[in-house]
Amino acid sequence: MERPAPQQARAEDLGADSAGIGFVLERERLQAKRRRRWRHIVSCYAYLLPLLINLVFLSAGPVLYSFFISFTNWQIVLPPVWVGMRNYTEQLSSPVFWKVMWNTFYYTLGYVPLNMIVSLAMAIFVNQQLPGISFFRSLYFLPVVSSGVAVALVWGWIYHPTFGVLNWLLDAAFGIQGPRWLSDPHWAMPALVILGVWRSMGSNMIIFLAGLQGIPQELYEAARIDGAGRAAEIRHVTLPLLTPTIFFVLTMSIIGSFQVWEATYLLTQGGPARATLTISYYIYQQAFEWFHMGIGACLAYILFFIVALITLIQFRLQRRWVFYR
Amino acid sequence: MRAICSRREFLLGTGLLAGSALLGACQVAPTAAPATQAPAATGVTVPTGAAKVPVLYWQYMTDIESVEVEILKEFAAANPDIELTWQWIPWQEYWTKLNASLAAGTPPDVWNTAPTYYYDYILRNQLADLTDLMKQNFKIEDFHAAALSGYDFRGKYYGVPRNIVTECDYFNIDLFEQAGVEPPPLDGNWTWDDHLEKAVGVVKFHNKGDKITTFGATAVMNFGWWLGYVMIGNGCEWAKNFSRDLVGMELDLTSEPCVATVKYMADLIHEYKVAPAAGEFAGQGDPFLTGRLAQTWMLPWALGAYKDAPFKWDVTLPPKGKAQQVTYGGADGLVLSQASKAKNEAWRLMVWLLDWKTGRAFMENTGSIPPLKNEETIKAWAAKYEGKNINAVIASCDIAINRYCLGYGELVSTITTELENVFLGTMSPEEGCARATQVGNEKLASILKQYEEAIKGAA
Repeated sequence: MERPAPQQARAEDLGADSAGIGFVLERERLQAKRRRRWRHIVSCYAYLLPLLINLVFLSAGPVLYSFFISFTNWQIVLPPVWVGMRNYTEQLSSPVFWKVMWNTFYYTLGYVPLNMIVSLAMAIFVNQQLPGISFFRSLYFLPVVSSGVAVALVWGWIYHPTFGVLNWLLDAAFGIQGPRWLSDPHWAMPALVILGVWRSMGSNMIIFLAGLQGIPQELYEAARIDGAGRAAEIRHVTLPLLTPTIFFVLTMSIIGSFQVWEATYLLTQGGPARATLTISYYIYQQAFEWFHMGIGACLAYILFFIVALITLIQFRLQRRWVFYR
Repeated sequence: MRAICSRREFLLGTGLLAGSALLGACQVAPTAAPATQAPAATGVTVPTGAAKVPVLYWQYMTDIESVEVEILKEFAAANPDIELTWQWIPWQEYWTKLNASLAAGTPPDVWNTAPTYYYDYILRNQLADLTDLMKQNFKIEDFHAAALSGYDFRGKYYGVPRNIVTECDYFNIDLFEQAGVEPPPLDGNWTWDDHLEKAVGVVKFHNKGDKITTFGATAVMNFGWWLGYVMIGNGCEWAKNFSRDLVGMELDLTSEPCVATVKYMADLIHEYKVAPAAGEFAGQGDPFLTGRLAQTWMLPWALGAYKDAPFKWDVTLPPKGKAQQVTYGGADGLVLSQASKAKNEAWRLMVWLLDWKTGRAFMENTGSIPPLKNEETIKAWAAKYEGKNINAVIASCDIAINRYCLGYGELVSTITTELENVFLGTMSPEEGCARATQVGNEKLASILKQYEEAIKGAA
């Protein structure tokens, strides 16, 4: 038997006019609901408060303030001096800035396609039901969780022109005398690209793997019935259905490539002869080595606008090639 | 299931925990133990009241933390009226943190410095003028010129040198003996031609003969370091009207000796193939210690760093240039914040750290040379490095030169980057020097403008 609600029971006991009582009870119910809702909202915000404080005071605040700083000459210890658009005009007319931008695009153009191809190929490889495949998945993911400093040191040795294993391999296998990887302006950037791809391929592989595992097996079965081989399966089933994942990885990889810093700092410090001086490292140099905070902030905003523009273009173009099921 | 505590209790508890954690995180430095004896620095008053005066000290030489902490503890023990706290911050973060603390109005009372970052703080009025205190506590003429020169700004001292660091030639005797080449002379009586001859003689090739496995010398490519001992040694000054505040100064690297110096260093890499290229050993430790380099230019830290090297080594003066025999030399120092509310107490700490009797462990453990010309002190310091040609390191102080100036790091980095093209073999020395002069002068003007504008704005 259904138990009557407390308010109902009380109203019946009183034997009062049902319409008037009903109105009062409805009002009470609404007020209680409103109180519960308020309590819910307040408790939600109480839980969110630490994060909100962090967002407003430690992220949004500095982000907005740095926009103001980008229009000043500020050397931290003295008050900022307003210089208007000077930082922007000086940077945009500086040959060093354009060299830095070229280096950054060079890195992006090398890193992004290579990273996508390698990590997708690896994801297809590890997306098989083979004995011990989990071991390979973990192994390929290892560079992602390794310390950046340790990785840079190891790769510093790998790239060593005389004692490095890479040049030894080139010599032993092909009889080629390898270049001075990190001290040759033509080879330093490709060296950083290879290191970047090796370091991040594991995380992209996992994302691709998740995308691959979301593709229904029936589609492959149907393709096979229609006579499709492995290559045709990849081309006509895997790739089209993976386009949302590819789009995500592409967007994140481009943003990440514009922020390359760690390997540059640890291995080349922007050299030789500015061959690996990328925008993130240049920002660090201006702001934290020479304490030109205004120029540093200005460069950071230029970087922000470029990344935002590229992402916007990507979002516009994705309508043409990304298929959502 | 019944909850262990109510939501309110949980929130309250979490808040309290977070608050305690925040308070805990704010505690940045250890506080020294109290003690019994008062210090003795001239020109300052020693308070006898009960309240302790807080003094904060910052240092960047993280490798000698354990040594200096003992000195600080002894100071704290001898100065019960001072509540001394200290913090060790690695060089890479040190200046950012220092600037942030200055901006926040909470700088350390005393901090370790180098002339690389010194003049800008003076111009911003952040360092106390120590000229009178120095004169009261020390004889200025007792300081070695190599140590003092970087701290003299427009006739005043805002910092006190704590050591002298000079560059000398450190060489691997075993490698020279194996190659049948006479090692560099211990009396320092040699020329740059001798240097080249020895470097060529000692270099070792891979058994195929196409790769170098042991280099004979290093081509010093950091402009800031080699400009003193090579460029000036060859009879050339790299700046017209050199001045620490950059006013009226103009770079000129296009004179014949300058170009010849750059060419010599580039030729060590490309023409004679005895020196590693720029960045060849980046991130791989010191090639001298691993036997990949027969001789290297090093600061006296090497005396400690090479102590346990698995080969025989020694040290000598750099070769004589055409004009004179010179080397790079500078000094780390101590400065006192203008904003310090405990200047007297801070100065007592500085005297304690500078005095050989109380602060000798610093010099003895870092390899840095005492800044005072006191014979007894030098003798006591040298005894620590018995068996090595320590007289060469001491003598190097007499021929040391530095050209520290406002915005030094930025200026040197700019010039070095331009000259890198010469060391990479992609530009001729003449072109490289001309370009370095042009870009360097633009940078110089820009640094000066930035500072003048900021200081004017603050005023």
